[in-house]
Amino acid sequence: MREHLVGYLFDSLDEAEAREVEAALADKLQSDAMRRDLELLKRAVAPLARDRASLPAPAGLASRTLAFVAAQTGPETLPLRRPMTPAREAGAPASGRAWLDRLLMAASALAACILVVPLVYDAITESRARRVERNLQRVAGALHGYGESQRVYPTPPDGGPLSRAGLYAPTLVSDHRLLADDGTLVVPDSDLARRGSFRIPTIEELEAAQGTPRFDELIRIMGGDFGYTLSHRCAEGRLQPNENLRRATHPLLADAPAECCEKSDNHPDGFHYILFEDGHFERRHVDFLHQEGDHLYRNREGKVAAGIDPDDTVIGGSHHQP
Amino acid sequence: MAGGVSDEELLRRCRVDEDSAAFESLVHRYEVELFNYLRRYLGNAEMAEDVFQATFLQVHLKREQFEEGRRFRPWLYTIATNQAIDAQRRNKRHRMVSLDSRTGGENDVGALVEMLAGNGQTADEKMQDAEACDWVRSAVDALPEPLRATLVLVYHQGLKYREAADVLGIPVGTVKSRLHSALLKLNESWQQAGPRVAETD
Repeated sequence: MREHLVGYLFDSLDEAEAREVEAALADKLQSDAMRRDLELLKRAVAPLARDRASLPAPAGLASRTLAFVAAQTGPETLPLRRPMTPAREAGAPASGRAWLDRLLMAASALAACILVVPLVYDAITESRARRVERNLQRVAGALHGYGESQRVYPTPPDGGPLSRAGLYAPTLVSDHRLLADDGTLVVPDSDLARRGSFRIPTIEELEAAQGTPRFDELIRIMGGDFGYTLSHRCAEGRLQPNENLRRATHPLLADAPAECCEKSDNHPDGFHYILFEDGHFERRHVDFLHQEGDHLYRNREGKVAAGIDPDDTVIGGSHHQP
Repeated sequence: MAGGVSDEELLRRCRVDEDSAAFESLVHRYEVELFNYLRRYLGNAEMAEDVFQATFLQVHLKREQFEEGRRFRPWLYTIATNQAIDAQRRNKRHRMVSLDSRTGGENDVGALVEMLAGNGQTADEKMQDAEACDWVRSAVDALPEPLRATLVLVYHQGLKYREAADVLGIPVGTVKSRLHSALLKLNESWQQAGPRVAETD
């Protein structure tokens, strides 16, 4: 019986068990000891009551969740169909009144759409932005941790088939700073996100796949939806390591460029996320992407290749070579 | 709109009629309760928000798997707990702490009662100010994860032993022993740190 006392105190017992405890408490032979134990237990759990009150949920959590579910499950399942009316279900013929009803319903639905759709769209956009920003924070933390321990940020080798921008991702996974399959490098609604089950390949997988069509595929996707710096070459032509000079204007990683290498297609609103060498990131519109002649996706010679000096930053897509 | 409708009926409407309003009602109905559970379980409001969204995505995706006759609330908590565990793994915050070797509810309650009987002053009596609330929260956060999960489900969320056992996938007896172990550990730590809290008054 004693083992039921905590459950009795917390109202966690089944009805039958609770009745047993109450019967024991009413029993003269047992009640004194049980009441004493119960009183002690009450005092023991009393501090917990100080933190029992519920906190309010973050504003708009339910709305964001509904938008998130809608975005993740796609238009084929959402908006969910409303239940049919009994008249419809019974196959009742449409009358003149029914047509008027339908017209009014259609007008109401249109008005509701006009009012609600922008709100839903805003919620989806906000949810996407928050997710991308959290992912970027994780990547920034992984890169920073790697940079602290290795003295340099990940840098592709200066030649060979693995000399690609996207190698930063398998490098971070090998160094246990990123998980291969948690979607950190995937932007919501991107092609990769739609394909599902994206996983960053390991360096061993890449090496094993060399010479096969699989290698080309892995090379193209290994960096996820983000591009990474192609570093720069010194005057002698050698690729230089990506040192962390904590420059607030030196991009390290950004939304991967589209095929044209003029902009990224990751975000339909035209914004681009850029993570800088000092660890902060910014969200910039495509119109402000290549300001002051410093093209984000090309070097000063207009090529998708390593920069031509330490200040010439080029963000390459996963398969791009320095 | 759906105020008097049971959770199970709302999910049935969502499943059978594909009624989006029913799904919305469930999300709104559990917004505060589930967020608070996840915040306590994860010890992090931001992660709790992510896991809340992931939980209802799973509810939506798995609605066909909900068995008639089951209760929705424990099913929801099961999904939420699994999502929280996944999130912890992804964030490498999963604490691998061995459980107290004590088993058997009777012995745990006995040990707890004996310890309490030997103390002249309870932790609550020593804690006088608002700081105690934060301190209690951090003490709960510091519990090994299986003990914390059990305590939060039973004490904070008010689940029955049997429901908590279903959510955690463990026998009812283990729920009891974990709960008792949690209270023992909390009282041990309160007895140690309580006077320091009192000194700050």
